[in-house]
Amino acid sequence: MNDDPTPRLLHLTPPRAGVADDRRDRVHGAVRAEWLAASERHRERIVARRAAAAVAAALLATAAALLVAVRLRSIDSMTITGAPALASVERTEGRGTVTAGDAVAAGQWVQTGSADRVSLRLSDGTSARLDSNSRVRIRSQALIELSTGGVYIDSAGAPGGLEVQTPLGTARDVGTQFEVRVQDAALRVRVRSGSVELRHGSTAQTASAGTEVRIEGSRVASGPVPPYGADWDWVSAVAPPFAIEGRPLAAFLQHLAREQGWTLQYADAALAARAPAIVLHGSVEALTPREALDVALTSSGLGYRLESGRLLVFRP
Amino acid sequence: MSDLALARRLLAGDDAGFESFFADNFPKLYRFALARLDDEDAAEEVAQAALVAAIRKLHTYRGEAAMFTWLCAICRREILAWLERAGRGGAATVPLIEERPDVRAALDALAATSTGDPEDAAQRRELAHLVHVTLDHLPGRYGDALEWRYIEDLPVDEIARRLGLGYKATESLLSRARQAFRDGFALVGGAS
Repeated sequence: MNDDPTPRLLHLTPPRAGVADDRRDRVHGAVRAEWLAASERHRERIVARRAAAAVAAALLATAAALLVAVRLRSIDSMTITGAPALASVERTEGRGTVTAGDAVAAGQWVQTGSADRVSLRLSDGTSARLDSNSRVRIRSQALIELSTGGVYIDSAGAPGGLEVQTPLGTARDVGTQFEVRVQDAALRVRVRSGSVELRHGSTAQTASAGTEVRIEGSRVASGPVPPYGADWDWVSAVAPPFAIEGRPLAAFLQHLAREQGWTLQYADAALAARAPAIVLHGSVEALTPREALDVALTSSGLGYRLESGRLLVFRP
Repeated sequence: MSDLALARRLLAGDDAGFESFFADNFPKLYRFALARLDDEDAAEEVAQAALVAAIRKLHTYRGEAAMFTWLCAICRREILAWLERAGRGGAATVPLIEERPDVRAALDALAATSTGDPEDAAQRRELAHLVHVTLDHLPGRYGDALEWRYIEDLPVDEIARRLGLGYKATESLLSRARQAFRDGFALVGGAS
């Protein structure tokens, strides 16, 4: 080591130039932000590749699956939809089970277990989705009775309002998406879009989109709730499938945005005008919403950003 | 960890991997730019642009060159672009010390330096720059370890603490770092 000139040489050398903390912090912040975005893009590329493989698999899936899908589309009245779906139903002749494709008559109670969720489609097009451990009775096209658990209503396009009656109050919609939940002697209503009229005893109030109202005994509390995020995951998990084959990209994006509570925006008017002319092929039935989005946009040569519930579609 | 493994960790979103990447490379890249631009603000801007560009094309990194060498190649392009924007395009053609033909003479002087102090201040600055360039191009934390030990005169146990290593492991690392420095310093001269 005594023959090694390195230590002596280094002793004679001044230290290397340092970097001021403020410079380091500025650059660190900028590079880190780019890295986070790049990591996300990389992850999305991987997801898209996997999802594309899943689409290929879905196209090769059994004819039985296609038959189920056809059957679901053909039923139009208080029908269990979505798959897998299983619930018990109380009929006059006794208790039984219902699954995808089965009809439920007015007046019958439908109950889900701890691992089940079902989607019901009323003949006017309203979608009613029942969370696990819930119990509802379809009294009529305009009235659903909820005794416990949670139900989500999407009445877009339906001509009349729908009431959800609970032991603790009644929620009535006018063309909206909302969730009603009865749990632990409390009633909670979350409004995703539109507005809901809420009656509790002799009082009534209106809850607008992005609002949560909670009634517990005589106490009524309200506050904001985002229309997107994990709180709504159970709703999309039980949503009826959207068949993309032959459908316009714009319709799919609109459907997805509505189901996820996102606001859909196109980067420019030309792209917004072109989206309805882009026709999709294949299937996204087995995919999560984000995977389905990746597949549809990647195959259309488009990109997207999803930030704070805003879905921006653009040309890369 | 190899540079390629580090790149994969970065792509996978590994936070510790990013912090290691930034801590190892930003100061060196900043100095690389500063030596060529002689302007601290410009060096910051160029080093940032190079790192951002590198992050964007990280998926193309195959590990065929050392990570810092790859970053330097990107940084050179950013420097040229900066000089063009600043109306100093001609300056880009001026070779840097380690790229000049007379670097051999400087290296010869280096040998003399190992047995006695050079009298010429300008030559000493050139030599110091060559040492810094060599330190910056050493793999891993070798450059930092050598600077701490032989320039800042830190004790081995303090270096061990900074590196998160044991005493013996740090001594071993310093030994390997000296060898790498000797080899690297010879290469810097030979490349000219």
